[in-house]
Amino acid sequence: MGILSTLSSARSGLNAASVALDAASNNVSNASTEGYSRRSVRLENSDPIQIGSNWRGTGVSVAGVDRAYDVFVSRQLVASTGDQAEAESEYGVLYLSESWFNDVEIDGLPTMLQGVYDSLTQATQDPSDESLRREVATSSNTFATRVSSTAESLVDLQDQVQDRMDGELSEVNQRIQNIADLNKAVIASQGNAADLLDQRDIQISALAEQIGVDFHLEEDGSATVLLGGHTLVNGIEGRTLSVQHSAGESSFFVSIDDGLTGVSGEMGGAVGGMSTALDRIEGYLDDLDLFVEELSTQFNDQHALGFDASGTAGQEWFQAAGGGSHLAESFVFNQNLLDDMDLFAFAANASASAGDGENLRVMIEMETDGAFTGSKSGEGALLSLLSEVGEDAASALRSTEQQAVVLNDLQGLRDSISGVDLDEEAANLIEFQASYQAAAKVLRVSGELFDTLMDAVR
Amino acid sequence: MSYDSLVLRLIQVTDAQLVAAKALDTLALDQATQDRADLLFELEVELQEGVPEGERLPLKPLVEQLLLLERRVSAVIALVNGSLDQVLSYDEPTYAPRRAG
Repeated sequence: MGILSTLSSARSGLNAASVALDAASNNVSNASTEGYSRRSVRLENSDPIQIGSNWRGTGVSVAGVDRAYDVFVSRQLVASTGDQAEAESEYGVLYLSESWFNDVEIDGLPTMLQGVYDSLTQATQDPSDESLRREVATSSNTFATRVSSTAESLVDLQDQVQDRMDGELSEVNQRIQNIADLNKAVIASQGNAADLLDQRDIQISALAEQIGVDFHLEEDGSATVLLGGHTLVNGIEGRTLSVQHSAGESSFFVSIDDGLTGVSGEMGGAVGGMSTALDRIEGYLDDLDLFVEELSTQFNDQHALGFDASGTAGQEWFQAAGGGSHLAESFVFNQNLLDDMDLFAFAANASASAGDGENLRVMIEMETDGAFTGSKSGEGALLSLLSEVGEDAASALRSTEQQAVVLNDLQGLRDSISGVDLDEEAANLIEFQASYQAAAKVLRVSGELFDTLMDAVR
Repeated sequence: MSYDSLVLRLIQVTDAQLVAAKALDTLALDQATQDRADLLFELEVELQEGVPEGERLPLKPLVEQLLLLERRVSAVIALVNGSLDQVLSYDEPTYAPRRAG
């Protein structure tokens, strides 16, 4: 082989080795970078040349830099990321709502309702006794206040969740646009876009975490991003998501051709989890409203059948004006009764003596199974609601833990495909070193030419 | 291309190669290597015709300068290769366990 062809082969070897060295050093630098996919250099023999009757090799050339990537695993990971975020977000909100029902610092609602009936039972010992009547008034007022504060807290929680959804949607729309912009850059790069593809993967994964999406890759390198059956990113175009809030409910839409299409049922990820939790809280509030309505009706109707100290029929015991979005928010013990306990209508008839407690005994008997919806007692109805809240939160927690295991497995699988193995990279460096040394050694033959030149001018 | 132009261009390219080798800029190094190989091809062709008598004397200092640069580039590349050797042969140090107490 002549000097020049040797030089040419050496040069191509140097070039290929330096590209491989760059890839290896890039891999090592990004070993801990989130979303980084390992790069590897694909080498191929350059076309040989024919000299006379002989074919001579012309070294190696870089056919391309490959990105270790498995689209199937990536799609699974994106789906699992959305599921995990959805479960975690739902649990986070339900945990807060559960804490309002099960406040350990003060008695829970069922205990407090039982306290009302206990004070009424105590009052039967001497219905005209002022201190026993005060106890009845205090327990009824405390219970009503606790019910309304629980309802208000749940409504506040709904408002906070809806505010957070607005913030997430703003980020989501920016992310959708980022993916569309990255698609544009990927298409323009004509296949040489490993860093852009990594960036796009990170954006898609983050989008899945927020709203739960799927994607597939197109021939031009762009990624089509889907929310359920609706396209969010198509090539270089991204669509906009919007949300409309009403009391306790949020509806989501995607803009398509100047119109809006509902996608509430498709929403996953953190926003989907929040939406599910919002629905559940609305259900708890509806249950609380129903309880308040039934309890008020029973107490008020029976109290109206009794007579107070002046022989007047009893006023409403509990009141719910319904000023807020839920009846339970305005649930109160009648202020007139709180101010004047002589208005308690414990007597069964207008002419009864001051110590008559016949109507009081009937009011106590109302706390029996079957008095409330679902054939429950008042305490039973509240316990059932608490049980539902607790079970929902526990179920969301179980789901979060299960999804975390699945996500962890998929991340492990992804790392085994796309992650950087530092031992493997060290092995690559040795290979590059050998290539450099070989190429540099062959380059030294250029010295022969310089010697000839030096001899000529000496 | 005349001999002096060829050698001057070789000096420039070798100098670029030296800078790139020192900076570990593999892209620039590859480019310089490629340019150098192209110029060497032309030099070999020219040398087959021999160096005209009139060009020999003025060419001598340029060739000496080129050879000096060539030695410097070789030294730097050898150093880089040596560093790679050192990095790749580096073993994690092992420490004796602390004595209890």
